[in-house]
Amino acid sequence: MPERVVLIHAGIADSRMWERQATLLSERGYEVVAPDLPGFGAEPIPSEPYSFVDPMKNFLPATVVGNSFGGQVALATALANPKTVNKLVLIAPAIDDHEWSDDLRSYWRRENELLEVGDVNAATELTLEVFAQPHVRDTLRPMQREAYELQLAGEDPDVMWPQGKPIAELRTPTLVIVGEEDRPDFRAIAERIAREAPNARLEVIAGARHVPSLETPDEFDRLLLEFFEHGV
Amino acid sequence: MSPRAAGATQHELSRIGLLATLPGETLARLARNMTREEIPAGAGVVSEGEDGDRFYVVLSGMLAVSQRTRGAQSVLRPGDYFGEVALAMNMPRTASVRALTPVTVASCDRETFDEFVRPLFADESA
Repeated sequence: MPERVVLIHAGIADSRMWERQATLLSERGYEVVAPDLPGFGAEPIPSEPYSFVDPMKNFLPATVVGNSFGGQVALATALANPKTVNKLVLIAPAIDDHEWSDDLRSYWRRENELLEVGDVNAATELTLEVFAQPHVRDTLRPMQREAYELQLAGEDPDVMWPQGKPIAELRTPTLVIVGEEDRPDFRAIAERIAREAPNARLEVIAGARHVPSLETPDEFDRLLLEFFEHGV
Repeated sequence: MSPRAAGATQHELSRIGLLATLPGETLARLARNMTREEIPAGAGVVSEGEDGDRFYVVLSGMLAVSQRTRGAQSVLRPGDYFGEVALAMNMPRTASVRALTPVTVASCDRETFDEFVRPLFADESA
């Protein structure tokens, strides 16, 4: 049986962000699954309360890879399913108990203001400017814009998360990756996970901001394959 | 079901390399005979060794092609097509095709394939 790899996209993108890695891993014999989370890509927001984490169970056992918000989903999936997540790759993950900086809070406030008046283009440009290196913004722009449109069109039901567990309970072999030029919040979260999880290792990628798989793909792919083949 | 769920559009088919040479009116008739299908990430579309009676074009998303004996073969993207070998050669599916991401395909049955698509392969080998 080929080893399955689940790729969970960032909250500023959708499954299309993984085109390069899905191809690379498929050609190397991995069984790749890159779903869209609800409210992104091809997945509308459900009308009933829903979970980002529960549907991932359908893809386990697997190695799980997640970027940003997808990293938060990947981490929650691993903590909730310790026996069936074989390896974990967290790329600039978000985390629920982080004390976010005033800089990030002011960005979210501005993003919400723009979306409340329906200015999807301005919200998209703001988000790309905050999170992505200039050379990948054209790739991310349609994904972020379509996600905003999908989210504005949908209802706003509750999101259910599994009961939180301390990071120290994460025993899954874990590679944490963060861009050297990412926001300080995400560098701090990455360092914290690598420090508190017993089987985690941190890699900082020079020249990358928040989406290293797109921004610095050669270095990202090298770290990913090395981890898949040799572990932490 | 949204109107787009019913079939493919002429515009979408014009972006499939194989079909790009078809005149507009022919493409429009082919589009009317094709069925649109949304496939979730991870799901299989065709299975190696099974009988096949449909031809597929990829409208969005990515799919992996694999064979039991040779493993992973290639990745299909929007503009690519698959399933033609079983129809053209009248043989079981020669490979399995599985969705890597959420995928939209349009497909047609053997009769439509024979009328519109099979002649394109004849041109190619001539």
